[in-house]
Amino acid sequence: MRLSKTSACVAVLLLFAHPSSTRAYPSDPNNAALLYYQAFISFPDNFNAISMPLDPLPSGIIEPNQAVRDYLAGCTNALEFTKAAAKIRKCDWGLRYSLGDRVLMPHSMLIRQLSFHVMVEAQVYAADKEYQKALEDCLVIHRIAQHVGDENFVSFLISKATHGLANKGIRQTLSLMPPNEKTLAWLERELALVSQRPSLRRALLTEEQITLRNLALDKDSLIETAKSNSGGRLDPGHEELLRKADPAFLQASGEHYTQSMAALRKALEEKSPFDAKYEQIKHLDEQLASNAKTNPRAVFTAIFRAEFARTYAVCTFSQSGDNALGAALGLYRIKAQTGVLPKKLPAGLPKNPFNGKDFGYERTEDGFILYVETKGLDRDKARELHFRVK
Amino acid sequence: MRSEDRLHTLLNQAHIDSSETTDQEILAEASNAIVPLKHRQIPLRIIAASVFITIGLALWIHNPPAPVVEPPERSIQPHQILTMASLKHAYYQGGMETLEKQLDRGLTLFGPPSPTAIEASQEPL
Repeated sequence: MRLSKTSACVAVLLLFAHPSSTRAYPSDPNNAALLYYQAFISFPDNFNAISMPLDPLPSGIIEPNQAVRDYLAGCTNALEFTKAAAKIRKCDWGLRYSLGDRVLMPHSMLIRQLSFHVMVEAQVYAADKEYQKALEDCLVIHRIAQHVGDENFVSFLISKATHGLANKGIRQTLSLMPPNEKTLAWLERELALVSQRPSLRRALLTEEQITLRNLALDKDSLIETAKSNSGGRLDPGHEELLRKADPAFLQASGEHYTQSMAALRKALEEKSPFDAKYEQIKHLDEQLASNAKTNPRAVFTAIFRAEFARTYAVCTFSQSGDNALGAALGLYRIKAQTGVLPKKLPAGLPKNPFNGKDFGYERTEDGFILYVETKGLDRDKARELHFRVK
Repeated sequence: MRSEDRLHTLLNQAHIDSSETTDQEILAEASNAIVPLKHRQIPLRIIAASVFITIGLALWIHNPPAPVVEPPERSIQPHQILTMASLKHAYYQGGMETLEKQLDRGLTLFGPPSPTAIEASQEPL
């Protein structure tokens, strides 16, 4: 009883004599972006802009020499912030959308460098035969890609590039490690968890809202934004049209834009083979550009239209990378189980989304190649994905 | 080092043909070889061209062409390359690669100081 009274007295003293002690312990941020921003400012003074080869396999692995190792040791804080950020679900970059199309996106260049730094660490781990850690780093890059997200159209594109970088890292690591069924099964599960892809639909809907907001800008700002969308040069006739536009004309332009984007989104969501869908979207894209020659209300749409056909091809290209990696994981698992690679590609593996067929497959002296046929990209990106097998 | 006496001894021992007739013939041949410039048949146009080239060269050395002044990179403002509009435009111009190049350019101009760059090696491990 005496003890209870003492305890009660202590509790009362703690409550009233030190009111601050009653406050909850401060929590870590619940917004990944805050940690990424801290990572950016934690780079060492000798920050190095790391550039990666565009197509690093079958060689092209960074040489983990002492200079690279020393440099990475100096990046420990930045990498820790990045990995902590990757574990958080929510990510709000705090972009100033009130500026419309003129919103600055400096985080996009830095997040790219953070991803490269994590990638280099993964390559050093792989060179040191710490394959699990290397793969975990690649999964961190996948989560960064998700965080870059689909807030807007540009974010979506950068997310796609980051996603591709993560897949490249996994491909490199798989080529260096002995196939281990347990690790491969774990990797498949983890990839399924990070496969919640950014949505093009969501990115385009935001894009539409941002673009329509431009119509409410004053004339000078509208023209400046239109020029920026057109690479600094605007057709003099179009500039004159926008400058003289009255509210009714601007409203009609906005309606034309909304209807055009809705038609394109509908085409994008149709479930048809790549070729047919690509041609349909390309036709609509071209129509939007040519309509502006005869219909003044289509000028705004022509200036601010997103290039849907190209974007559809980019998305399919990204999907083909995922599917090829899935097919490769299937082949590595067969090698782990039987000790040999199959002569032909087995049924049931993911297919090439460009043609709906199996990837081309060829066994080589030190592994195998998957041939990925692509279409609709800026340059011929038909590629051979080399995988080595230990 | 050889002494002067030793040199005299060596010269005395050397076999030298000395004939006045031969010397005259050699001298006459040498004199004929020296032809005054005005007697040579050099085309006038070559002389004129040489003069022009010489004058031109002299003028160029004294007044070299003004170097082309590139606008300093730092004069580029962030809004020119890092706005949503300009990043979109980069993508429309050249696809993903152009967009990524613009981001890298942004990093060079506005990112942390970058004294050197680590290039991923193309060498296999």
